[in-house]
Amino acid sequence: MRVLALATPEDPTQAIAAHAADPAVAFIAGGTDLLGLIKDRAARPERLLDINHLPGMSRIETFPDGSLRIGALVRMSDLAAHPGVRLRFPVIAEALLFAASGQLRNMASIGGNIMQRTRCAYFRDEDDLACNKRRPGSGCSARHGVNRNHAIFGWSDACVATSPSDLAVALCALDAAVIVRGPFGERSIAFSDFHRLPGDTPDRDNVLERGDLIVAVEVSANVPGRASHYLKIRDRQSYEFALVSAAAIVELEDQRIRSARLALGGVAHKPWRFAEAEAALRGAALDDAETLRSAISQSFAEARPLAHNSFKVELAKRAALRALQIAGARA
Amino acid sequence: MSSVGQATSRVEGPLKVAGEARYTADIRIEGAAHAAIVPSLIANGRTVSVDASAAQQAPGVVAVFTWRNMPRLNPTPKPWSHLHPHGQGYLPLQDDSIHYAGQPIALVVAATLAQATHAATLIRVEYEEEKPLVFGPDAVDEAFDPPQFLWPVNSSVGDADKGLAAAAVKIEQTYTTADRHHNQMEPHASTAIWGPDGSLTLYETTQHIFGARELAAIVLGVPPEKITVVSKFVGGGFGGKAYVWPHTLMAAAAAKQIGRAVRLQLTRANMYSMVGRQAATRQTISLGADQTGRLTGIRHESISPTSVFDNYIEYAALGTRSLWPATDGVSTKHRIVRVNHNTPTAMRSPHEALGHFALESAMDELAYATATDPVALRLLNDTQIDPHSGRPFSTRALGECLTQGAARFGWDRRSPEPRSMRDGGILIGQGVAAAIYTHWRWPSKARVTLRSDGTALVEVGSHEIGGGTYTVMRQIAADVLGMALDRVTVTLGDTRLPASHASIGSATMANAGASVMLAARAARDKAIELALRGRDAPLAGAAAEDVVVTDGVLSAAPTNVSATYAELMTRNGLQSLEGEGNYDPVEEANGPKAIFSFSAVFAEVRVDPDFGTVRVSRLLGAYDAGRIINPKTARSQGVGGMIWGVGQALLEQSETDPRMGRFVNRNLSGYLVPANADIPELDVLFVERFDDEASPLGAKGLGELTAVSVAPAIVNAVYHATGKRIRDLPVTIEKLM
Amino acid sequence: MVWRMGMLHVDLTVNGEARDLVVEAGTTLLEALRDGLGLTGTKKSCDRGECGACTVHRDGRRILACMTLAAMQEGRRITTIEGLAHGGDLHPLQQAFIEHDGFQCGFCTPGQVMSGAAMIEEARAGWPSAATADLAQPFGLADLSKAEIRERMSGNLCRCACYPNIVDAVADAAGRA
Repeated sequence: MRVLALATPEDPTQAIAAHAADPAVAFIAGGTDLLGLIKDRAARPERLLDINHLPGMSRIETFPDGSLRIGALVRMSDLAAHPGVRLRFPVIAEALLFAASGQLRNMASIGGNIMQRTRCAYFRDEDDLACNKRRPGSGCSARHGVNRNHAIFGWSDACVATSPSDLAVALCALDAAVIVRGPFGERSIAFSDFHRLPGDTPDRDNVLERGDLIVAVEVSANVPGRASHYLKIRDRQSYEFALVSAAAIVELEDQRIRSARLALGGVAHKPWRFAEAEAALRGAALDDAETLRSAISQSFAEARPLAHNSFKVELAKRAALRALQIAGARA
Repeated sequence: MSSVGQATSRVEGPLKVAGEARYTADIRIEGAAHAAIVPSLIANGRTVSVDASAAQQAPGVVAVFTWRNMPRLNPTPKPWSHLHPHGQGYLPLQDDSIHYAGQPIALVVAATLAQATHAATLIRVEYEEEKPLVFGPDAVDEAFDPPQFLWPVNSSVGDADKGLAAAAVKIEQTYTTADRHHNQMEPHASTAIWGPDGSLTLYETTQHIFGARELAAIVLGVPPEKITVVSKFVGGGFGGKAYVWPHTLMAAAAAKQIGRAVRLQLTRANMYSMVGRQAATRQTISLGADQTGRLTGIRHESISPTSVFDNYIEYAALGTRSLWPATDGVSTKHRIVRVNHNTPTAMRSPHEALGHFALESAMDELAYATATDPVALRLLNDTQIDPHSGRPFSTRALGECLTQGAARFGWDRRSPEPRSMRDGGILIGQGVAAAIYTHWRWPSKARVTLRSDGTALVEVGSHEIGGGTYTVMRQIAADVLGMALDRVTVTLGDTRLPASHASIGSATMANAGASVMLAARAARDKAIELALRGRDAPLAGAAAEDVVVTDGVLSAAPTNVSATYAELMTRNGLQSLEGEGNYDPVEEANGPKAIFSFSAVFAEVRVDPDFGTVRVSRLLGAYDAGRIINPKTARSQGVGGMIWGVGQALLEQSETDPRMGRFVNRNLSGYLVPANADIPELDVLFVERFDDEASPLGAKGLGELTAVSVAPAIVNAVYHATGKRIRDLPVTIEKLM
Repeated sequence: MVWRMGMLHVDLTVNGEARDLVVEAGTTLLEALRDGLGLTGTKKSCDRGECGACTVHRDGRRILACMTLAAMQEGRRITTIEGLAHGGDLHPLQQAFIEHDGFQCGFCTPGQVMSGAAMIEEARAGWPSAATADLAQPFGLADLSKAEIRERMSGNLCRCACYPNIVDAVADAAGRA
């Protein structure tokens, strides 16, 4: 691997300054995504900042008002095992437990998890194939290639990749916020604004700028997360990225939906929030599958499947429905 | 108690669980340089230029080889057979032509692997690209009749067309299977060390040490006796390490050129281009039957891809020649198509596992068409005469496999109608399939040495690829010698040992095992001879056939005189007694009996109809593999084979981008092999028959057999669950939605 | 903050012994263990975090040695398969793998064993898994069903496919532990 140097910053300010100053520098925490990218030459940083020892970023805090703050260096396994998270945000615990493997969950950080790059086989190929994410302007091999695993929403001719993080789908549904510290101070980014659509610049997955460091993810007390579910569909029973996934959070009143939050994974370059469906679901009876289904369909007007993934349209609808029903049953 | 038939634990287990078993890449060679391959990005064409100047300047680089400076290699022999060296027509770095993506176009050798890998990225290649040939829908038009390399390409017994024309019920369907890769956990590796005397030692990930030696000798122009191939532990083979692939030849040639040992270990991605795969198939089956389901005619034709430089045939219709008889006739046919991938090779289970998917799916379709129970349909068509050769089967316990398997599986509780079994919203289905598997008879030599310390050494040039060779050879020798297991040591995996065959085709037990048995007998008989007629012969006067050996003690009833092996050797001034085993069977085709192993596989699946997800909830394999030497390791082969079948049925496919002609999913997150969570409890049942035609041990092949007919059993269960007949593997979500 | 370049020294504990590793910045822990320390029990198979063959313990937790850098292990306690047995006695899980025939070719076995040994401790610590029916309930070792073991061991691929035997071995060792 072509990594030439490693440094261990002692505080975030130092880390941010070093990152901001040099485009050849990357942060490394768990390393479970970055090192794969480096080996496949899909990322080519020359110097790495080992941020694992930065203080104050490894805490999980649950507050009496019901809100949650997750330090960016918290490991997936610790978050998934946290009793408060399991009780109050099953959608988070499930998204984590259905992801990766026990070993990877012990390594991977929460900040890194939501930064994961796409699993598009053309992007990952160590032979450096045409890919606009990898080499802007080189073209998209997947657009007319093997694209079963690719997007049905929001793709562009420049890129049809999907975002692989399960956790991100849950956090998107929860309206979480990404707390970022940069050279000019700290800011909060709404989760649905964190990841980007590919457009003409698919090399950028998210809105972070050079020098930006994710320090935490926050879930507000306004989202009652208990009646929630993360449903993941894949070919293999375990240790596989989602073909399609759905995160649902439901509030009921007399077995009718007072509010629903719904985000899908495996369908777009970012977690895909179902705003139209959420609106249409208000007032629907939880046991009225037909009404739920037709409400969900409201969010599919812009679905544009590719040559090999048209089945994802129906699969996504059914996944959303099942996730809603299971979440609702927990209310 | 005889050590054969005992469920003993693997003798090398303590090494394997402690990380002390040394695989090829674990063997440290001081001063060895490391090599990295520069793969072709295109699948068809030629290199116009290969600029290695930057790589040559990179730190640690010792040499860069391209076709211009690679030593010229001698052509591989043709045609192939399993007795002759396995190699490809294509030899690496000999000219500028490119036949498949991932083909080596340069080899970088450096002091460390990191240096070689980095330098390899600095090489600039200019290509002249042509449109790649792929195995697409129009393959049928381009298929041609290949020359024979294993069995006859086509077969016809009786008049299949007549049987089909007159049939009351006819099934005619096309079934397809996907390209698949072996994905052994251990990547292929080769370390080549030349001695000052021109000798070559190859530490090699191979299932065929003698084949590797013979081929390396030919290609490198070195006498075979100057080459030693060592392979003590192989981290999975499944057929894919039986050939000599380009990396071995490159490592050896490069090492000679630079005068330094070279290690070349493939990356996981390399393994999807350079080292063979299971070819996809497109098969058409026609079954004709009377109203009761008795077969009147069978026609099975298969088309599969090969490389542009070799004629590999996937004999998918092979099993169809001998599994079921048809009153009027059976015909089979194979054709191949050239594509820009490397040459396919044997992969668990070659030929049979592909053909049985088609044949046993079609039999299931016939069962529904004739309203016959699928088990009963197979019992109705069972036979003791090989339909292909007309010879009687040596042993064929397929009927017992079906009936005993059905009883244990609870087949009588299955309701026959599709979609009639459920658990809430989940559809449940149960299916069955039968199988026949080729029995290979190959020569093997072995040596067994009794030593004066009361121990014995077994030497046989076979391999440990996971089948338990160290363990079962010890059992065989201990059984014949009448010694405790822990007194017997087995040595394998070195061409300085007595020559054996490749560990492929489930042949090791029946053939290498037979040679060990003969060698142990010869050693034991020498000791008996000493006991009867040697110095101070303790058993003088007894008949040789009355001598028994227990715990290393020879005695002959009714006398109570006895002597140990050690005492006999001491008494006769010997350090050791050697027995040679030379097992040289006639080829199966030339024998009086048709020899095959058989199985019946029962599957239960649970299908979520909303998502099209299939989960296997139960599998039972009932096997007629002759006598079982070690029920513990044999059961594990059954378990492993069934899981291979789950992969074939539901998960595995190597996808080719048709524009690029390259495999796309070249890693273990893209190519899905079954994970632990995919696998339920599995049931293994042995219907044992001592088959002395198959081997003096009574054993027939098992390892490959167990991966045959799992896929059709699962797919038949999916049909039973859903009413949907899937004729295209693997059964992925979109096919059931 | 210092940029460390060239050959880096890393002080860490490997199998109970203090070691001073000399590595490059880009050297993975896997390469350092195998090539630097000659601990070849830890296997390189996919080198991308997709198979589990390189599983080792870091401060008692199972991790993948191919997906972390050696230079990041300063002060850490690493255990490899060579360090799992105590004295001459195999770890109960190693013994159980032999008894239940939890391997064939044996190449993935060190990773399976290291994964299983740490996984039993995760279950004992009350960690749930994707197979856990109700995440809100506490989890205990007694809840470690075969379905739980299958899910928790799914990060270790075995191409010989000994999965049911691996599950039996882990269940046995968890019961004995």
